[in-house]
Parts: sequence; structure tokens; C-alpha cells
Amino acid sequence: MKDHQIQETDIWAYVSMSANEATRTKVENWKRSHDFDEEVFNSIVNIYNATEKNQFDDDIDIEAEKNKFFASIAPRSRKIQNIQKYLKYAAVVVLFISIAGITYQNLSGNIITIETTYGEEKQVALSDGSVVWLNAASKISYKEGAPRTILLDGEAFFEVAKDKIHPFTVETPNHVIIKALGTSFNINAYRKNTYLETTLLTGKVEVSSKNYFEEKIIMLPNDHIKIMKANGKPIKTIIENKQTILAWKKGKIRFQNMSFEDIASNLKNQLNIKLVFENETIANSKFTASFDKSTPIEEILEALKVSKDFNYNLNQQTNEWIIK
Amino acid sequence: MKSIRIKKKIFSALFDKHYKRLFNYSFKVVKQKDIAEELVQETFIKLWENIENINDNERAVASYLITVLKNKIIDNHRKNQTKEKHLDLYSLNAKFVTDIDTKWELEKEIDSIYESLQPKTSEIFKLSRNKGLTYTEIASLKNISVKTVESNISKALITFRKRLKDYL
Repeated sequence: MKDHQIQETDIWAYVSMSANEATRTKVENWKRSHDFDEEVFNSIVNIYNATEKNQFDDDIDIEAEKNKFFASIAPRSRKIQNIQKYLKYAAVVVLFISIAGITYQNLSGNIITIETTYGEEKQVALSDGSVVWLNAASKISYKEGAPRTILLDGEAFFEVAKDKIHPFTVETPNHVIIKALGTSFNINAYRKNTYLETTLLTGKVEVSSKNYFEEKIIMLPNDHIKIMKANGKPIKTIIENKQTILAWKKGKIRFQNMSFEDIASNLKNQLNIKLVFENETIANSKFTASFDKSTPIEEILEALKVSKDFNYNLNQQTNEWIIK
Repeated sequence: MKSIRIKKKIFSALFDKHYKRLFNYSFKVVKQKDIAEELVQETFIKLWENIENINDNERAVASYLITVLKNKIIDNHRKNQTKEKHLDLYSLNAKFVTDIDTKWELEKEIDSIYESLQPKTSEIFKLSRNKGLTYTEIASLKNISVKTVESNISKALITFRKRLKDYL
């Protein structure tokens, strides 16, 4: 056998891992021989790497992207907005019919817990292919071998791997359960907050709660549900700006029409900064703002001061910021 | 000013034509699916707002889209760079823009190589590269001889080697 009669097509077959036994041996022998031409070999490897198809190429759903686009330009035109409203109702009806009750069996095993401290974020890949971004001071836990049944305390964004047979469920400390089939959504359920909220970006989910309400709520993309813990009433709105919801994933803190008290709870989690209110009115007043996580607290407070009248000072002993 | 209904029709067609390619570029640079998608969305929104000011021909629209996307990617990178605030921001940005330019040129060149190949050659090469099929499998799928498959793969490889020489 003459090894030097190697063809580029042999090298290509070898590099792209589609070579048969004979070709593979031929190329391997050539690589060990004096005829080995490293430059040719490397150039073929480089072509292989450069022409790599992106992994999502087959998953691209142009129609879904189109709908997302038309939804986001909708506010520019009343007419379109109306059409979309009707479409949404139509979709809700279809979803109610199509959702079937599927139960999921837990495998017994150890409990796996992943948590973040103040100011920390983590990205976790679950064994079923789903990915979880855990915001600061948050915790998820699940039974070993059952990564699709999760308990969450805090805030997390879920990108759920598709599996029609095994729904993905997330339960919050107040026993609100969010059930999904293959989708991406954000849940904000810190124990100390006066509310909990969830936002759906893609796919569909079902929200239920033994504590708060009887009927299950179906969510569609861009739906946002906020539950005030005081009365347990779920309020459904459509988000105009998902940046606010996902800001934490990008190292930003955003508040949209949020009470100072809830902002304080947020700052505690994200930056480990304690605010104490000596003025009830200011604690309840609402703000809309956006900051990088690296912004010093003085700068944040100064910016908030522009729209509402209050004073602040730092208690050096307790390391608390007093707002009055 | 076109009516909204007609404008929507035009954009629906533009999505069909350009979305996949734009997402591809975007994903190869930012490496995160959700961000890549979002940047392409924003690119189309910008086109929606400015389409009245753009020449009414396909090439102008295509190059507008690709330029806006590239700028969006660079902006997005700058916004995310707060953590490196205290480092030399200028040199980091300059390096990123050069990197992006190199990747961009490479993607463009690969696109243009695929277009320059005979459709049959390009199809056979993609069956090998993207589907991982063996020469025998491609031969039986296309109902041609293994020799023909090999000669097409060889043609594609020669073109790629010649035209990507300065990029790889």
C-alpha cells in the first residue's frame, strides 16, 4: 500500500469522522510517516472548524421570531394591537383544550442543593439539558435523578429542555407551582419580598397554588403574573420590556414602578446593602430606575432622590443606610 | 408611507429571507442563543423604523441589516463591559472590534464560497459537513457514484483552502 497517495478527500473523511476503517488506518499511517504534510492536514482541520454549523440551526423557528417581532412593534399601531389581542384570546382557548394532565413520578434519592450568596450569580446545567441561572441569595433543590421537579427560594431564570412526557415544575416557598413543558421563564420568589412574580418568555406554562387561588392560570409568552402575598391575588399583565425582568442576568438592577421597600429588599439580595426606613411614606413610594450592579449605593440613592424628596445617612455601627 | 398591512407582508418576507443568516452571524459572535436572538430582533425593529429611508432594493436592505446587527453586537458588548470598568476599556474594545471584524469577514467569505460553488458541489459538501454522512451514504442518497462524491468534495476543499488561506 502506498501511503503517500493520500487524497484530500481521505483527510476530510478522517477529520469529519466519517471515514471507514481502511481510510482511517491510511490517514493514521500517513500522519506517522515522513510524507506527512502538516500544513495540508491543518488546513483541512481549519476548514472543518470554520464551517461548523451553529447548533441551533435546525431549531430556528422563523415564524415564532416573526410573531415576537410583530408583537414588539405592535404598540406603534393600534390596528395590529387589536388583532393581536384577539389572537391571544384564541390561543388561550386552544391551550385550555390542549393541556393534558400528566403526572410525573419522582425517583427517590439524595437531595441536591445549589445556592448563591449575596451578590453572586450562578449558571447551572441540569442533567436533563435544562439550564438555570440563579440570581443572588437564591437556592434550588431537587431529588437526585429528578432534575425536573425543583424547589426554588429566590430568583431564577429557567430555560427548559423539551420533554413532552416529563413536565418541568418549580415550586416556590409559598407553594405556587409553575409547570412547563419546554420553555423559558423567570421566577422571582424571595421569601422576604411582599410579592412573587413570574414572567414567561417562550413556550407555555401553567401556574397553580393551593394557598392563593383555585383555578390554574395558563401563561403565554410575555405574560407576567404578580402575586401579592398579602391577599394572594394574582395580577396578570403583559410585559412591554423584558429587559427589566432579565436585567439581573446581565449584571444590571432594574426597577419598574417598584416601591422603595421592595427596592431595598432587592438591594439587600443583590449587593448586600441594608436600608432602614424611618419614613413610611417614602418606603411606599414607587420608582423606576436602572443601574449597573457596580454602581456605588450613594450614586443610586442620589439618583432616586431626584424624583422623590428624602434624606439618607449611614449608621457606621450597624452598617445600615437610614432613609428618612 | 406604506400601509401597515403591506409593511407587515414585506417584513414577513424579509424574515424568511434573512433571519437564519443573521441569527447565524449573531450566534457565532455572542455565543448565547437568547442574546443572539434578541439582537436580531432589535435589528429588524430598527429596519422597521427606517425602511422609508432605505433604497428600495434587495442589496441595500441586506447590507443595512448586516451592518445594523454588527453595531448592535458591538454596543451590546460595550454595555456588558461594566465589570472591566477599571481596566483599559479602550484597548479591550479595540480588540473586540477587531475580533468581530475577523469573524465577520470569515463568515461572509464562507457564505460567498458556498454561493460560488456549483449547487451540486455545495449540497454534497454540506451533506458531509453538516449531516456527517459518509461518501458511500451520500452516493446512495444522491444516486451517484462514490467517485463523483469524492470529486465534488475535493473541488469544495480546494476552493475552501484557496479562499480561506488568509483567514485561517
